[in-house]
Amino acid sequence: MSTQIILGLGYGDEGKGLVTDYLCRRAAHPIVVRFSGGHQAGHTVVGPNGQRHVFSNIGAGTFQGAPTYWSRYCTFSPPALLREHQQLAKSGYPPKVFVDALCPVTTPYDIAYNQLLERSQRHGSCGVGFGATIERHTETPYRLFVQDLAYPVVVEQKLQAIAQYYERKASGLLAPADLQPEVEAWQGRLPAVLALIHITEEYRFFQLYEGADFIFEGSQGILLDMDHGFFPNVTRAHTTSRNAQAIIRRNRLSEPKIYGVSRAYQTRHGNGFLSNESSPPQLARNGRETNQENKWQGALRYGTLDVDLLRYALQCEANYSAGQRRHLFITCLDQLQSPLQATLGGKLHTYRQPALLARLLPRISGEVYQSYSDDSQKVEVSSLTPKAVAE
Amino acid sequence: MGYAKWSSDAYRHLRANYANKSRDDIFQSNRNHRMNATVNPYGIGVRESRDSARHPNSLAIGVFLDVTGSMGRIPEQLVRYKLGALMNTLTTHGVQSPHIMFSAIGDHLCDQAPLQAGQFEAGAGELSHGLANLYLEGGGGGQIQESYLLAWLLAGRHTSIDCFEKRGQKGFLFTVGDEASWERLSPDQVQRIMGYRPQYTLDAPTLLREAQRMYHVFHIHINETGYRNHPEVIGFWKSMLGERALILDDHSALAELIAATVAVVNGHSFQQTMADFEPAAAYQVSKALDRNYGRPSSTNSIIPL
Repeated sequence: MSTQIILGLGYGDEGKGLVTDYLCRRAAHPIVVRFSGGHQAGHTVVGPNGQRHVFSNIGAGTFQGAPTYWSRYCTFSPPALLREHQQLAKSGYPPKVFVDALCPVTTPYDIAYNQLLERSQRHGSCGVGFGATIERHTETPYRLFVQDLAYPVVVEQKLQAIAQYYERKASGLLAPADLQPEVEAWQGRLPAVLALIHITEEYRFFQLYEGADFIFEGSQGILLDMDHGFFPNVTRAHTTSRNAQAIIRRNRLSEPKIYGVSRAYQTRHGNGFLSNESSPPQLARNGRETNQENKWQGALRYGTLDVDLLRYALQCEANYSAGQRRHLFITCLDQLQSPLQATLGGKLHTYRQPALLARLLPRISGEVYQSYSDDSQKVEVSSLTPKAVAE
Repeated sequence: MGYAKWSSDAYRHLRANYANKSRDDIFQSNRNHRMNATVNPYGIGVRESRDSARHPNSLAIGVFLDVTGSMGRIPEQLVRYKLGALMNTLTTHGVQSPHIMFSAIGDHLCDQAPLQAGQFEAGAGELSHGLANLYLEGGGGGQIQESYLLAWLLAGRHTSIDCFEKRGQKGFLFTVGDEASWERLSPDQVQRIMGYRPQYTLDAPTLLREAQRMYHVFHIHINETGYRNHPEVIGFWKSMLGERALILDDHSALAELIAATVAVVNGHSFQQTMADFEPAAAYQVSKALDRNYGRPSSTNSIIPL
């Protein structure tokens, strides 16, 4: 019985998938809980037979046999889940997915509106309708929940209302009639999706799995948080442990440990502020990088690690996890061609022992984990004993 | 070996006999404080599991029990209460002739008897005596590792089993304990334990691969001692064996878990196997085999799966 929360300390793409897989491997009865973002996440994990999978709609512990709980803070996209479920089942790892009945559902209208918006604004969105879904759910009464999907009449009524809403909102640039065939296909796939997931109420789920090891898999990074990131290039989600803590308190789970994840350098996919971009790190070519150039976000951008921003991210996080043990997880260390470098107060420093970086981060009170982006899944742990004792 | 036939009556008789005996009365080697010569692997050739007129379809099952520290109660419980459940479940679930080898594992760095090699047996008396022959040294170090890799060495290089050699059916190998395995065996250590000197240091992944050629290899982590939910231990087994690292929260369901695993791998239906157990044991076993853990059913999902 344990509770662990995985958070990105940058702008996403830190290696949360790898950490989730690692923690699941070390837990007796792991269960992965997604608590922020939604189906736009992309968490890459190398499976036991060397296969790679990018987890978006399903928890990244699936290769370790961990069921997924999709909490109400995450958007749910039925066709995307269907696709990913089939992929995983084909490779021999049929996932077990529980979905909170109150999850917001992404419709084809959300995706179309999201892409329309991104064409003009370039906020760094992935173009899969996440932002539009959350906006519709939090700021308007046009809601569609996962529980509604079991009732075709309800879905039909709500979709009509959503179509009208977007028609007004896009002031004529979005014609619902054009999307009609797509929406019908979307509705047609719902029964197949419902057969693959368990729809459940939150408290019943946690009652059922009492005593399991809950691994809360964060999404994006704290620097993209809707409250703490750099507006307007933020995501519409709390990427700190805020939502996870709410679930933990409501269901009386044990006190969590926090794992802050960062690559050994900074990355950002999409527009927005990135410090040290003028002095990018020297990186080995990584043919397996998940973040390929795409239409909505462009190419992946790089910068040297910035200790001040790591401190800032941990400060933001500390508001929600006061007194809890925080560990640091540094990934992709083998990508660096030179020893680890980071800026502190604008000056560049070299750290021959990456673990010592944690000494500069007062909010890290636990261990330092170092990992690599090759397929060996090796993880080294070093503890900051003197400080850990003092804590 | 393995020519005798299992009989529940014989076991019931033996069990009644053990009822008023102490642990050391049953495990006589404990009185001598050293292992019985018949289970000493020093100079071992091969342990055989052979087909016979009585057992034309034998299936070799190696069960290696950790006897360090508090783990000694597991062989004791098996011989006192659980052997019947194990054998009966196996025979009623499609394994007509199980040949079981009970062996013991210790710690090759600090124990006198880090490996005790039993024989493949099939009869009630032989199996009980085989278990009772083990020396429950109760040693082990304070590290979180024991010498489970010796089980793979013995199975991979020192057994000869008809189920695999004649019929191409893999045997089963279970190691049972609460710690991770050492990763290496130096030539000197092998010399001391087995009586011969390999040319190179042996490492755990190689020995495991060798054992997996002839056996379905499983490890059962007894998840209730000081190493309960220990991330290093569980992490070690899951990276070695993946889903074949079974985590058992209650050691009293061990016999059922072994039997159910063999039955399920042999294609027997999981539900049917569970139906034959008492509810408490069935719950522990399904939790360990991770099927329907938490029993999700139509009662807790709007749409039943």
